[in-house]
Amino acid sequence: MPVERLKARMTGFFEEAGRLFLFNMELFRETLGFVSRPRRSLKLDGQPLWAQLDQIGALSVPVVLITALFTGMVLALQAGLTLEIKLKGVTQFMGRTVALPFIRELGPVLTGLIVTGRIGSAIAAEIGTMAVTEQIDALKTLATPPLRYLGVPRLLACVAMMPVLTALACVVGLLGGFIVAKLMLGINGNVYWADIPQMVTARDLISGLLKTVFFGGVIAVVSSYQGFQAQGGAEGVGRATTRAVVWSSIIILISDYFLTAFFALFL
Amino acid sequence: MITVRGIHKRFGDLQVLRGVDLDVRPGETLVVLGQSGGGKSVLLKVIAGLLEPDAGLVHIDGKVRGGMRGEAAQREALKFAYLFQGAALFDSLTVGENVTFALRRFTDKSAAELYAIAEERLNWVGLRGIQAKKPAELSGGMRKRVGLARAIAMDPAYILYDEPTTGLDPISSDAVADLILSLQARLGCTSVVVTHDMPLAFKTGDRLCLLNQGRMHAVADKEAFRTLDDPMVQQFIHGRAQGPIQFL
Repeated sequence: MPVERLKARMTGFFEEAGRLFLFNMELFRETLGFVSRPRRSLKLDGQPLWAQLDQIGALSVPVVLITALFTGMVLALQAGLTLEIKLKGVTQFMGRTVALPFIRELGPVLTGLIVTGRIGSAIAAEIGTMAVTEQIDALKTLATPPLRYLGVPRLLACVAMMPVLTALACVVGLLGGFIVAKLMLGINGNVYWADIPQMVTARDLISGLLKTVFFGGVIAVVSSYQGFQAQGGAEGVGRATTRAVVWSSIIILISDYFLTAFFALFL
Repeated sequence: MITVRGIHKRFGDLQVLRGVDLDVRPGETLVVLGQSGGGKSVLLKVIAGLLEPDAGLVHIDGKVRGGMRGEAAQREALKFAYLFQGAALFDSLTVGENVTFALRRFTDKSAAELYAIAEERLNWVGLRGIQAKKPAELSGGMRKRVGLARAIAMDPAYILYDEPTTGLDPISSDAVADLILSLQARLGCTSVVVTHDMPLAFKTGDRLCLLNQGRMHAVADKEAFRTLDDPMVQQFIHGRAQGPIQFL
């Protein structure tokens, strides 16, 4: 019966939404508890926090930088060909043509999607495996709240490291643009760098980095939630990992629009 | 003393526990028998506070289980040690870090003290010199013993064993039974063993009980249980497919 199927789907949707809401509240409460007593928190959960900062931050640097470098290069190549061929004589605008989209959009979103693929999947798989092998129950029997031990370090690390990774990505992306502009298109390097501050403002930098704080939160929350919900062995872990990546990516892309609109109005 | 009263637990359409009553006396080892999938592990998880019952209460030393918050709840949790079926060792940590997990969180012991305690607890379960290994490098039996060493690191008052011999050969199973008895003697704690392994049950248990259809069917001292004039108990003890207990 289509009506009954619809009813079951709606019920399932609201149950899932309710679970996610409660998960968020609990994670938020645990995070507040962590940051309000930093000395005690670091004694208890310092080790997983440092491990996550390393995993999410330092170990993500190579893949983020390689992606940013080549994205900056291809952006410069496309822009250069367009400016050269279609708009002859305006290649002095190359700097702003690469920097503006990179700092406002490409840097934050690209980094968000790469971190989703690399870290979101790892978070969901790791926590999901712990859930199906009773390791999360084991944490409870050792008087350790699983969200505090597993969720909070990942959330704090994602939120802290995303702006750092994005800033690095933007610098390397602009460098990639510079390499192509200078070596392939023969544009004067000083002209390239001098053009960037003509259009890119502090507001662009701040809004770009603030977005990534939100994206980091999305990756950690969605991926941890999917991991904790994993059931049914390897298949369940696989499903949780896929959902974590798909939902994090979708939320990042949709929220990017609304965050851009918000910052345009209020920043 | 653990007192279980009127525990009901349902998962979706499946009613697993239908009003379980049980007393675990101080210092004894109580063995809970029952078919696979019959709710023994669910009962153990309710006692451990890992699952919330739909109805009914568990009292630990006269206090309602789960009725505490903050540090009192933490103290209550640390009274219990739980040996999981698959050991549930933390894959990302070494054996030594697994064993001292709670000690590192809740005490101020130095690294040398932690190492010494881990070595002592590992010796108690018949292992030595494996602190630096990762759980993935251990056999099933070794993993269970490391799980036990982790569980007893905080000197618990209660040890809950969930199918401690599942997946082990008969000799390893007997070694686990000896281990349970030696820990009982050493720590003087109260134990609940969930199993369908009859040699283990008769070797370790002071009292035995049979969980059937989500209810406690029979409880008796070891020798009385062995000779109990009850078709279900006798069917289970002798492992017969034919009898009043339906094959699940």
